[in-house]
Amino acid sequence: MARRGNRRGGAIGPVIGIVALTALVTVSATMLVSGNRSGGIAGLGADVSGAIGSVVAMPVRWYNGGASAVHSFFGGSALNRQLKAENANLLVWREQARAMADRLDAYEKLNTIAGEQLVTGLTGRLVGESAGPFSRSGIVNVGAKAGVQVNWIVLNQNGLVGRVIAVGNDTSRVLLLGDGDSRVPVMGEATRARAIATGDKTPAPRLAHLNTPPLMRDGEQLLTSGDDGIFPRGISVGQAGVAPDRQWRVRLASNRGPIDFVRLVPPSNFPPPLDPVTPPPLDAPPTGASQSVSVVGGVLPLAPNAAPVPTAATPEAIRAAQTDLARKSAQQVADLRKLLAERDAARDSARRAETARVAAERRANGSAARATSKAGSDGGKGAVRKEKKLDPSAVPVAPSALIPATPIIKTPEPAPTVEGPTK
Amino acid sequence: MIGILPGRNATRQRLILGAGVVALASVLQLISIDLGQTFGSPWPIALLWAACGWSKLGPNLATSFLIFMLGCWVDLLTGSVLGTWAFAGLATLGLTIASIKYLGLSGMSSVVGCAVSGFFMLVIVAAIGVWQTQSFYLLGNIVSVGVAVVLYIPLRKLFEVSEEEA
Repeated sequence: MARRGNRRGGAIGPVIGIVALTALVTVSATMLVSGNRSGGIAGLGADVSGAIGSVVAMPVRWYNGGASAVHSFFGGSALNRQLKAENANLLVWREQARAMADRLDAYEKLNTIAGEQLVTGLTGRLVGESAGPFSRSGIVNVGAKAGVQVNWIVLNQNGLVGRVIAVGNDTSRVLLLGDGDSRVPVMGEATRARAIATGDKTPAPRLAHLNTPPLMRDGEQLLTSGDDGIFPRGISVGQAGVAPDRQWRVRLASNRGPIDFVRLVPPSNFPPPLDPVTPPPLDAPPTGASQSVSVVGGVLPLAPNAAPVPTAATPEAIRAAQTDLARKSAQQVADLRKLLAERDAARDSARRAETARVAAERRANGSAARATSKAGSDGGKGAVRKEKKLDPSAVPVAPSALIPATPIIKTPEPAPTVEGPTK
Repeated sequence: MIGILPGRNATRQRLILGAGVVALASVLQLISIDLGQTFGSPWPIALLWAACGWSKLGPNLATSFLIFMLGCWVDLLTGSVLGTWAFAGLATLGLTIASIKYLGLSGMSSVVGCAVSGFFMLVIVAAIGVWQTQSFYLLGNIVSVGVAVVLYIPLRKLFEVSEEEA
């Protein structure tokens, strides 16, 4: 059969065919190894796929819309009640969320924390989705014209959907979380256990590099940890669960319902530090330090002249330290009491001196009055002379002003003795 | 292009028609229909039809080139790494031709031949998947290959282009 098929080439026909097949296999293998999923060709492919997908998927969308309309028609009343109840719950949640957002803003301002704000993005619609053996990707109907760039984050109302890997003019290709190339750092909402949600072409990505497997719980909410600097922190990814293959996997939140409208937001993209931090050079140890430093109680002092490191490794050492501390405290109390006694003695002597001075002043005033009355009879000349003899410093002052200003010292209570650990 | 196509006009027309069918069927990959978490997508691997049917022409420049182009088309549609489906299709074509030539499988029926090609395709897809991401979604791929083998029964007249039959 191959003989007539290659009749035009004669005997050389099969050889050309084999050479061509080998060459094309080599070319495709080279392209495969290079692993190109983005760039201009991929963007063009996204545009083509978006144009075709929006047309091809239209019957499916019509069917879904029709089925939804029929379901709403027959179950409209129940659906209305359900939506009202859900709306009431959501209103409560909205108020709580607003209050918590305000508190969070206040805390961030108080602590000068640079919060991660989810910036406003673009809204688009998933017009196509492919789930072949080699890829799980989708096509969104917003592209470079709207400002979308590679690595933008794609969300829907349930949580994280994926990220943009190729951008066409009017469409973008989204790498879904189930794709084999998808890697998202996640953390448990309650346990904060870190892991990487690794897509393996199944609908439930695997949790790889789980740092604390015993902490992870079945059903725990998984959020993006933001450790990669691309995905913002705190986006819902799904629930953790143990699969039949005994591996931790993620039940994706975005798969709770069909993905229709999505939101595209720019990635975090924390800039790397401009100046790499280099540790300061350490001083060389002093000469002879190794001979002079003695190891006490297994603790090596940092420098030869550093304070001795307390060693409280044994109960005896603890009791000795407490006795020493109590002795020092008692000595300090005795010193303080001595100082207070000296202060009281000084106050008493000052009061006595003041009393004596006031009495002398009164006596002087009494004699002056007598001299004035006597001088009134001789023209007042003697009174003027007596007044000039008075010392200006003898002006009466309050007794409290003479008390030396000593600080108020409270007598400290002796330090309570702490019983050492009993053996 | 026509100059390098093999044989008679009928064969050329079948080649072009088959390529068109594969290209159109590949577009189905863009429709998001899922059979559940276990079985994945129901859409067939249409490239298998071309690799199976055109293998009866033997090693040929035109068929190899067409499969390469169709593989790149599927890569662009599905967003997989460029060259993945092209490599899978060409490797399946080569293995099918080799099995026909060296294992004496030329007398088998179309469905069995497509099943053998499907097995080759499955192995190659698994090898690429394990190489790329250390994982392989076995059941989902078996479903896609199985659907392609079943659909090959009504479609085989479009792809089996031997010169004798033409």
